[in-house]
Amino acid sequence: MVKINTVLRWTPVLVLASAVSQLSAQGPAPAEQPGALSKENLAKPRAKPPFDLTGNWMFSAQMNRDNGVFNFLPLPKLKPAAKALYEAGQKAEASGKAFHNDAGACWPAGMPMMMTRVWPNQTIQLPTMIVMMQMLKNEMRWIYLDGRPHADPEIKAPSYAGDSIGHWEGDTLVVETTNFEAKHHWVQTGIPVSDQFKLVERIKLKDDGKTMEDTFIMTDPVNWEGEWVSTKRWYRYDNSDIEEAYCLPDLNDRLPATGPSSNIR
Amino acid sequence: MVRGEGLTAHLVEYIIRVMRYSRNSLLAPLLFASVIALAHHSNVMFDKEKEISLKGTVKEFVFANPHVSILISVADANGVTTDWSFEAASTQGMVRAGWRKSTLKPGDSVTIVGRPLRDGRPGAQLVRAILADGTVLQSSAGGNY
Repeated sequence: MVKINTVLRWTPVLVLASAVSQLSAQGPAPAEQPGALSKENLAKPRAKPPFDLTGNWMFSAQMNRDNGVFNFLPLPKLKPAAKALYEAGQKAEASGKAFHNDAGACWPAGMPMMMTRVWPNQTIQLPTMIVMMQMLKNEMRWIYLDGRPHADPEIKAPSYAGDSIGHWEGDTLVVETTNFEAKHHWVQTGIPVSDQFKLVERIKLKDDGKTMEDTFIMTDPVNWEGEWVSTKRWYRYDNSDIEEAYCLPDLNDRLPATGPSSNIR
Repeated sequence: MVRGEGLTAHLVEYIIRVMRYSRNSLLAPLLFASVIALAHHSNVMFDKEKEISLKGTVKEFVFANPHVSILISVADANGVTTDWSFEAASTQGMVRAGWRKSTLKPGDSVTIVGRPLRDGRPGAQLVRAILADGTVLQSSAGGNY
């Protein structure tokens, strides 16, 4: 029979050993990153940015005629599986059916599709961060400018907007985005996003601040070869605000375009 | 009377006319592509080159985002009614074209012009509506869809 004194003597050691064991399994707590809105972070001295994107921006079909309008053209050389999906999508659309239209079925459009729909994009630029709120289903993205590195995927879940880090190169804002959620996530009809998808954007302000231009440089070794490059443009649309526009399943049920019979999956 | 008159409304009307009278023109699809906006979903199920006009009675008018929804009951020559579902633009785009939450209510008589579903189901994308008093309202204006 174990004596009570023996149990009491060894209990602290056992508790400590258990704590150390759990710590090694979970990893140490991540270093504290000051939030982009913390006063301390906002107050740090920084070079004046070359432009301020704050405003409402509208995607324009007319201004994007040369690059595929709502699609990203020219297409890259697709890998066989992606090519088969793309061709199935083209065939479905030619027959009047949407193809894996997950954004229409209330999955997030995510990056880059969320940028190219004809509803306003409300952008707020701060010294530490740019926040973009799309009226399209109120999808959001956060571009950190405060010098932080990409978040470790061990501590930040993949997402449809991805993890965006920006920096200034002369008159250009360069944004690199990684750590995407691949589930039900498409660049455009028939071309999926894998967990190896990476996006670099080169953003410029043109026409005395009236035009935002964004060159998308997309790589995804699972789905296409090399870089997929397409430049898109928006016009300043400041005489407006955005509103709540969630994708609503019951409203979708009423709309003729979003029912299951309109969508090949 | 045409409410929501603006460059966009006139442009849409003009391009519809151009399309109607130049079906074989190579230019027509380009012109059309310039104004068909992409919503939160694909639009390929609508016949972009066809317009139908239906007179009916409003059963439901849902003033909501991302798309306003209109349901009307349409009677054929034998008095048999069919419910037609129309997808419209966002509330912002419609308000800029002159629409209001109270524009339609159940029981109202209305004529709706739309691009029909290609598979023959009774549904369409709104192009414009003609209210009982003759007011013509385009589907959207101001660049919003």
